[in-house]
This record gives sequence, structure tokens and C-alpha cells, in this order.
Amino acid sequence: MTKEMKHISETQMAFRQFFKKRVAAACVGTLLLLYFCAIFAGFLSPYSYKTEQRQFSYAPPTAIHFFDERKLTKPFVYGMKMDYDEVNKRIYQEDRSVKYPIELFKKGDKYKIFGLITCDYHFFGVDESTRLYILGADSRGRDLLSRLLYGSRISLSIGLIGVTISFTIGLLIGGIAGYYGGAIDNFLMRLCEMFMMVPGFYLLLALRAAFPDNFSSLQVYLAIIVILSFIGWAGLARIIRGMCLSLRERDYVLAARSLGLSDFQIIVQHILPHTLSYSIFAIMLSIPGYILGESALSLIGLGIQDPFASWGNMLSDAMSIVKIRFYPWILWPAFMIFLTVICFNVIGNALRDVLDPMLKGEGEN
Amino acid sequence: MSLVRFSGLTVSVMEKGNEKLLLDGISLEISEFSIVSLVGGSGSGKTTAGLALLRLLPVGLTIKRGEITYKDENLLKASSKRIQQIRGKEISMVFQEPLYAFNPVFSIGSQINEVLELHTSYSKEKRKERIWELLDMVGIKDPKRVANNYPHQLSGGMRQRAMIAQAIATNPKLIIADEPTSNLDVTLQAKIMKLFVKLKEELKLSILLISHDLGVVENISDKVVVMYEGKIVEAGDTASVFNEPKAEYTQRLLEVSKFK
Repeated sequence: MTKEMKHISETQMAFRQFFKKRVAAACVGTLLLLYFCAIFAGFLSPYSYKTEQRQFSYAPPTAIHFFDERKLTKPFVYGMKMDYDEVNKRIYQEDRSVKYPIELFKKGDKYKIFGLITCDYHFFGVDESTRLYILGADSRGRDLLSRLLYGSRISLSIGLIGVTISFTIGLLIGGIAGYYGGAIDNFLMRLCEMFMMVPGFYLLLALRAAFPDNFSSLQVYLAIIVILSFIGWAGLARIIRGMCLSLRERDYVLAARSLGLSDFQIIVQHILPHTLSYSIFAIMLSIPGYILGESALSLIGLGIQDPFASWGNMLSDAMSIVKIRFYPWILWPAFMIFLTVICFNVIGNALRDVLDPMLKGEGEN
Repeated sequence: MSLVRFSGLTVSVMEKGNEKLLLDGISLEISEFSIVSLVGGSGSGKTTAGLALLRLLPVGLTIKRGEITYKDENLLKASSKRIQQIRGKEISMVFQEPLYAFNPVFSIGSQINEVLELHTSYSKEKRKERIWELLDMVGIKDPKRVANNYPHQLSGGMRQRAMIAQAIATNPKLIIADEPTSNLDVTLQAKIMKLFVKLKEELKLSILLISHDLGVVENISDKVVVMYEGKIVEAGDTASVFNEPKAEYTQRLLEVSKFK
């Protein structure tokens, strides 16, 4: 007997095709995990992003032991001893005389869940008389893992918020330019070109210079989003405008006008939805730009300021080759940026293959 | 009583530096509760006249002279806000090919809902019921299912019925039907024409029926206006136009429609 064919909608079909691509599906999983970690950063990280322990400056990753005298036990760490070598460089060694088991739901630094409820339970931790540096420590002895988790909040959210703002502007301006054409189109497109003409990074710097430099961290965060969105909309607006020029000639636009819809309603309700499949993968492919933009600003010290963590400002520590040579673990934020950007790009490409039948077959992955 | 009156309407377009008249001094009157047919070959200007009534002329076409009045209001001088109130609410339009006149990405129901949301103050529930009622009125057997369907899922006849349902959603006074049946087969043509007559009587509305086929409009129109190259060559009661055609063009049209 043959299996009866089930009726599936276009969306379901796109979903299936998408998840058939293993790499893309894995990237979705990775991103979901990253965003989950960002939301619950306070709980998942063993310390707060600003807890310093200066005597453990650049401590290497702590070894976690599972075997004690060749017997399997609960995971534990040894205590830490600090010494100086002949050139007065710090060397850290395990102090085998004391053992600290890794405890689950350990009480520690206070944090807030969703910015509302104060809580001090952490997913895991060790006794306060030693430090647990799973990924190592930075110059002030702050736990790199905790800072990575807190930093991901800023780095990952800036992409989403920035893209939302700049796509709203881009879609509207592109829609208006394409729908009306003529002088309005001309004016808006020349405006776009003005933004696209200036090299991105210098525009970023120029716009940052327009804001005062004594901003609070929240203000800086918002300013960065505004700046990045301001740069991002122009390219999209041009493409959407091109699509709208052809879409406005469709019969259903005339029909919608004959029903008494205003121009704005027609643009938003009848024209822009047709640009959706393009917009979806364009969004995915442009998010990395925002993440990299934030990192670049923070890296040169114009973005998120210490002690607040973002992947960009954590990397500013890694600007000297000597530090990378001796403390390679400070490159973790670079790896995280790399991973996130790759994930968004792979997803974006896979979405394009699925959503745009015209491009099918080009660039398999 | 007259509902819509065209007087001396002249529409022109610039073509390679020369001015070409698409409509040349058109005058006609649509009285209340009547079906007026505008008949003519391709390029005779009948669709242009229909679009001019709702001020939907494509860019580049300009109204040079003349007036269009709706209930003694000059539509050509009305503000664009007022025109938007009239479109869809007082005067609505049925297009030739509903496959293109419906937006392919929204369901039939949501597109009818859009008109209701715009021009009435019905609650969400009321609008839903009104959509089913409308689809039922135009002879769709399974209105609840069709409301959730997308335009491409319906047959040509069903789509045209749904289009008509959308046009009558707000109880307009006049429907402009631009070649509503030219893409349908002959039996469907007759059914749709009957539907127009039924709706005219039930809803007390007027219909401006634009067609290139005299045979189609014969049985249902009260008045026939024949156009040729932007001019009205003949106008009068259906019976008189069909029985004693005066213009040579009307005679030719009649001969052609007999062959069918």
C-alpha cells in the first residue's frame, strides 16, 4: 500500500527543506543555546561579571578532576598556589593539599533574574576560599566564563534590536520611495547614497563622536544601537525600493486603491509583505554586521565600558601580541563572535536557498 | 434620479510630444438602481472612464476638461481624503481578472475583512459573520471554508464571486464592473450576469458594466452606451440600441455578436 500524501502548506515545506540542511539546523541549535545562556547568564555563570580577585590576575583555566587516587568521584578542583618565576612572571600551580568539590546550586554573588527578582543561587560554584576559572581569568582576576555570559547579553541583543530598527526604517523608506517614485524617490535614494558613500567604520566613528563620551553604560548601549541602525538601513532601502517599483504596478494595488485604502496602508499591508522572503534572509545576513560593529566600537574603547562586559571590550585586552602569547584564553570572546557570525551567515544562506526559488542551486551548503 | 453624471469628460495623454485624447467629451448619466453598460472595442476608452470615476487614472493621464459628479458632488475637485471615503464605501469596483486583483499572500476572508474594517465600525465577530453572509449572498456554497482560502485555491468563477462579495461588502451605491466575465466560460458568464441583476434588486444599487461584448449585456442592462475611440457613438435604452442601431459602429458590433 502506498502512503497517502499529506497536504502541507508552503511555510511547512520551507521549514522542512530548511531543517534538511543539517549544518543550518545545527546553527539554529547553537544560536538558541547562546541566547538561552544570555537570558540566564546570572544563574549559569559562577560569579558576577565584576567580581575581582587581583591576586589571580590571568590565572589559567582551572583543571577539573574527576578521579581521586584512581577512583571516580564527584568533580572537584584543587586549591591554587601563586609563585613568581625568575623574571617575576606569575606562575599558578595546583595546591594538591586542599580539594574543593564543585557544588550545584551554590550560593554566591547576587544577581537579578530578568532585572527584577534578586537571587544569589548559581548553577554551579566552589567554596569561597578558592576560585573556579573554567575558561581562565582576565587581568583583574575576573572569571572569563562569567564575563562571556554577561557579555553575550549585550553582543547578542544589539544585533536583534539594531536589525529591527534599521529594517523598519529601511522597509518604510524603500516602500515609500518605490511606491511614489518621481521626486520623492529621487530624494530618498540620494539620501541613501550619502550614507553608503562613507566607509562604514569611519561613519561609525563620526557618529560616535556626535554623542558625549561621559555616557552611562545604558546610554552607551542605546547610542550604539542607534548608530548601527543608522548605518544599516540604506542598503536595504535601495533593494526594497527596486522591488516596490515593480510591485506597485500589480493589479491588486489598483484594487486596494479602489477599496479606499490610503497610500500608507497599501505600502504596509499590500506591498511590503511581498518583500518578506527577501527581508527574512537579508535580516539574518545583516545581524553579524551589528555584532561586529558593536565589537569594533567596544574594542577601541568607544563602546561598552569596563567593568561592564561585552565581547568587544573583552577583546581589547587581547590587542597585545604578548598577552595572546602568554594567556591565549583571553581570545575566547573572539571565538564566540566567530561562532555567532558563522551561525547567522549559514542560517541566512540556507534561508535564501529555501525562500528564494530563483537562487536555488547556487551555492549549496 | 441621477447618481453619477459625466459631463464633457476629456482625458489626454502625451505621446512622443503629441497630445492624444483617450476620452473626448464623454457625457453620460447613471441613474439610481439601474444597470448601464459601457460597450466598445479595445482602446475605446471604456476602462479609462471607469477608472476616472474613482480618480484611479494611471500616472501620465490627465483630465483636461469636464466634470464627474456623484450625488451633485464634483469628484474631480474632492479632496483625496474624501475620495478614499467614497472608494469602496459608496462606489466599488470589480476587476477583470480577480486572480491578480486579489493579493496572493492573504486569504479571501482577510481581504474582505480589510474593507469592512476600513469603512464600518463592526466588531471583529460581526465582521466575520458579515464575510460569511456576503460569500453566501454571491452564491458560494461553503463560505466558511472559502473565507480561509487563498485566491489561487479557488476556481475562476469562485474568485469572481468572491471579488463581487468584496465589492458589495459595505453596501455601495454603485459598482463599476470592468469586464467581469471576459475570462470566464459562457455558462459562467450568464450566471455572473444573473448574480448582478439579483444583487441590483436586493441591494438597490446601480452597476456600470464595462464590456466589449454586446451579447453579454443585452439581457440585463437598462441602458447601453457604445464607445469608439474615446467618443460615445450611441447611447440609449437597451431595446432601442439593439433594435434600431443608428451608428454604423453599433451595427458592426451587433453583427459580430450574432456570430457567437
